[in-house]
Amino acid sequence: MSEPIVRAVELSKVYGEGDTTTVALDAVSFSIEPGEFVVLLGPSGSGKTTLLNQIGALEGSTSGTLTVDGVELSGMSEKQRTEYRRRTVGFVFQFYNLVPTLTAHENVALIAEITGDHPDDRSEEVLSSVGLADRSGYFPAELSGGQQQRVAIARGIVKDPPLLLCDEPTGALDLETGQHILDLLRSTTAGTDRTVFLVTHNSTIAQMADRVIRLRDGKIVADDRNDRPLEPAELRW
Amino acid sequence: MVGVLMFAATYDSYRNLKASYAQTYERLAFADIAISGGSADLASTLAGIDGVAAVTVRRRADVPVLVAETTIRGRLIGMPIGDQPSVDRIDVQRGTYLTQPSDAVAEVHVARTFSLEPGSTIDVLVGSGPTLQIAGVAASAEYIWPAASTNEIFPDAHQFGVFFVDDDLLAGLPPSAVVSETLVTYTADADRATTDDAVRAAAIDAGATGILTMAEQPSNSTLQLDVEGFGTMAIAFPILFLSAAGLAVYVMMTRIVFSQRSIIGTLRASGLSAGELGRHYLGFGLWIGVVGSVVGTVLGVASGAAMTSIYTGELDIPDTVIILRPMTIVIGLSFGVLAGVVSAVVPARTASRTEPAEAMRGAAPAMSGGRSIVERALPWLSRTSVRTRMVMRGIGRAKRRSLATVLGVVLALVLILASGGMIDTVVSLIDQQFNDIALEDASVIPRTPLTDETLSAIASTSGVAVVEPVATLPASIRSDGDTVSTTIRGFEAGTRMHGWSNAAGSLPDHGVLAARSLQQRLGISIGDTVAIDLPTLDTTIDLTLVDFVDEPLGMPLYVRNDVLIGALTSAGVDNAEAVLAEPTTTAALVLFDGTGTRASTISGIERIDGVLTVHDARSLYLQVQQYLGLFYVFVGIMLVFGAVMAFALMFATISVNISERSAEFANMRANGLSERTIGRMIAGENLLLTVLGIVPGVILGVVAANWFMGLFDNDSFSFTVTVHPITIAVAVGGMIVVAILSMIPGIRSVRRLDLGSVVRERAV
Repeated sequence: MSEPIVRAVELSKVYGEGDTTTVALDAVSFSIEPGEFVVLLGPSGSGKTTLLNQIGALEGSTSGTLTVDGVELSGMSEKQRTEYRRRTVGFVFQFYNLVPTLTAHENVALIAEITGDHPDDRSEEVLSSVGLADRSGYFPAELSGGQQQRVAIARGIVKDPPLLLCDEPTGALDLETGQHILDLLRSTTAGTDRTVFLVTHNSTIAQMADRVIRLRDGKIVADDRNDRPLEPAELRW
Repeated sequence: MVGVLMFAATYDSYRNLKASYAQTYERLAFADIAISGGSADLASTLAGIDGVAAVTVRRRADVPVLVAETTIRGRLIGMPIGDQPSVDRIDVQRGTYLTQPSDAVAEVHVARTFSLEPGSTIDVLVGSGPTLQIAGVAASAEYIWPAASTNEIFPDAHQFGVFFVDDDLLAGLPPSAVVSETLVTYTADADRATTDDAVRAAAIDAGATGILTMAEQPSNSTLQLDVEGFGTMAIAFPILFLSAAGLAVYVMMTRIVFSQRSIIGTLRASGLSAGELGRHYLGFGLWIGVVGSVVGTVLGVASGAAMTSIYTGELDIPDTVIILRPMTIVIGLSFGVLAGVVSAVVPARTASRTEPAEAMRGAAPAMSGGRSIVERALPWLSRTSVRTRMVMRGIGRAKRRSLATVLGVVLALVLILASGGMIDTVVSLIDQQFNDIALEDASVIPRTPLTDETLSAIASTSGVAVVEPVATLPASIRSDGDTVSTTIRGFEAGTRMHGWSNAAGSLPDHGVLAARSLQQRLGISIGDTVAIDLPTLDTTIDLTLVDFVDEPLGMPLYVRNDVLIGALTSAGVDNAEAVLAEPTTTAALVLFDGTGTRASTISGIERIDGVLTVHDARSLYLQVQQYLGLFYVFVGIMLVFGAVMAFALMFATISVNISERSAEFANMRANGLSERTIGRMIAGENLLLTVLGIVPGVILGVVAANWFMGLFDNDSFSFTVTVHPITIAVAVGGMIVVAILSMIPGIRSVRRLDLGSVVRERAV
């Protein structure tokens, strides 16, 4: 068995001070193997997004340890966090947040530029892989929601990160489009060691995952393997 | 608030100053017109003209006077003993008016310079050389700005002072030094132009050698020029500020409306009408305007009173009138409220036209993308890095806001360059006058008629390189029924004491050179024969106008000494050479050779028998610099305000830009772009907008400088407006610094973004 790509030990995150504290994560522990498709499932306020943010080094933890790809995240400086996000993590968010003044190609190339690896070639290749080769010169306002999310996925994977972190990627989409997006997320990681974390409150989507970590009130209440993950097309919500 | 404050303060000061002058002039019966020379019955003729209230005849003379061991040029003005005259009275501030023939009343400027008080004495160094006792110190409407003439507009109280003496005293002075004057005031209901014309015609018929209306009187014309320029700035500068403030309010209001879209949608869905919604947001602008204008008006009115007191105190204006003007308050409030409301109109309309359903969806309207104008103009720019393209396109994503930033830069540069241009022009004017035109290092006032022996003695003094005699006579030049009072100066052939700006670059060997402003004033042309009245010699000479000179101060006439002597002889003046050599007419101008100090050289000259006193030209230069101190302070304040105005507007637009794009920036940071990179991109957009504003700002700023300085162009001042390239460079550099400073808080806020929560927000 290979080394876990992500290992959390007694990880906690507390917001606020004194009488107004909120325990968003309460001493969670888990480890994830490379290449797993992990769904973080839970109701609103369960801590799933907080956990995703911890893995993405968007914010620091209060206590405990979190190691990603052999790197301990706690105690990192902001500069180190930026470098970590640049090299290790790709993000896909619910509301895409593409730069409206850049074309699809340029939105992807913007991220590719920071790694310095032939941004134009790489961007075209990745856009093709998400089925948008013929839309690379379009601006976000000229794309549908699903197409914009595909650009966001392309943006997330263009630098070939070991981790792809997705926060409610289908939250703003209809069923059919959402299925396509989930299918895309699956296919772009198939045959690679890329590990995907997908946050959702929709338990249906959890059926396509290799691992489902359920959270409630900041605690992991279940951590299950899915022996027969469904194809996205089979999902109905 | 700043705009309204500026308006209230400067406009009230302007009105107060005009009222202060008016009160002083009325109280002291300042002459509406002053006539030099003329026949003995001129006074009675003038008294019979419709509109004339009072006529007074007096004499005055410019003679050397010893004051506190310093010999100065003293202007003695003859007054009746006991009772003041009916025209051009004086305001005795300390001591008493004249009570006996040996009394003198010192004008306030010379009194302050030499610490003269009642009991001090002065010696008149010509004629019977009487010693006079200072009975009092007084202000005079004629010498609030104590200029000796329109050609000597920058006074130096160390070299020129005014004294009011018994009129009979002037009878004992050399006739060549004495000028008789007829002073006239008009009735309150007189039509000034009509009465001026009638008096002028009568005076010319009576052989007057000089006519000076109140508007032309050196002190009044200088002060009115200053006040009127101030009055124009009292309107123009506040408008600039209020425009910038309006732009800032517009930017903020647009952002507020945009961010409250979902609330707007909910309110509309709940039954609020479009009109009510529009009025709600107009109300925002109204309240901003009200608060700003109330505070600005209160502070402005208070500041105006303070500014008036400082101004009248600095200039020794006898009366200080400070009036609380309801109209200033009304106009100030209106300006501020209008700026607030007008700037809120577009955002309010946007709010009222928002479709409720779309607004409640919470989705921001899809912003259309496109290549920037720059990329379309220069297609190769599309091959630059994505970050660079993002900067170029970023300025087009909120076009009105970007335009507001550009306009803010333009307005600030207009203010800064108009102010800087004023300083440059004045500095250039002074530099031209003291370094290119009046070249002497000192002028030597003789005790007795200037002889060759005296000139030789001066030339032999250690430190002296060149000495030349220069004659200066009061003169009037007549043409086409108009006459202008000025001076005529006689120089030696090949003189080194004056820089010539006529075509030949030298003083011609025949005829006269005249100031360019006389061409416009009298309609005279090269080749014309002009009649020049010399009141102190009671004669008129005719000379051919050879060319014009472009000099910034006054309207002088220039002639060679030998030509002047010839003209006087032809006009019937006996022994013209001796007449010109009188100490009241001819001085010796000196150039130093730099071997000794100025003080030692001057001291050596003063020891020569026959020399009364020496006036250091540098002393006048330094005095002028001192006069300009207040002006430099004013301009400096304008420069600071300009920078603050630009900063405020740019800060507002950057803050809105950043808050609108916080999710976008957070996403970029989440994906690995560093804070520094994002900061550079923000800086790039802001600097690009600044640069776009710089070109039109510089152009309009130079135009504004020309316009402002044009307000000060009159008979006393004639100049070319200068805006130095360094001034432009400093202004542009300053704008860039302001742009950088205005970005710092915004860029810091990007660093402090809570990435975890912001990336989850829908972009708005």
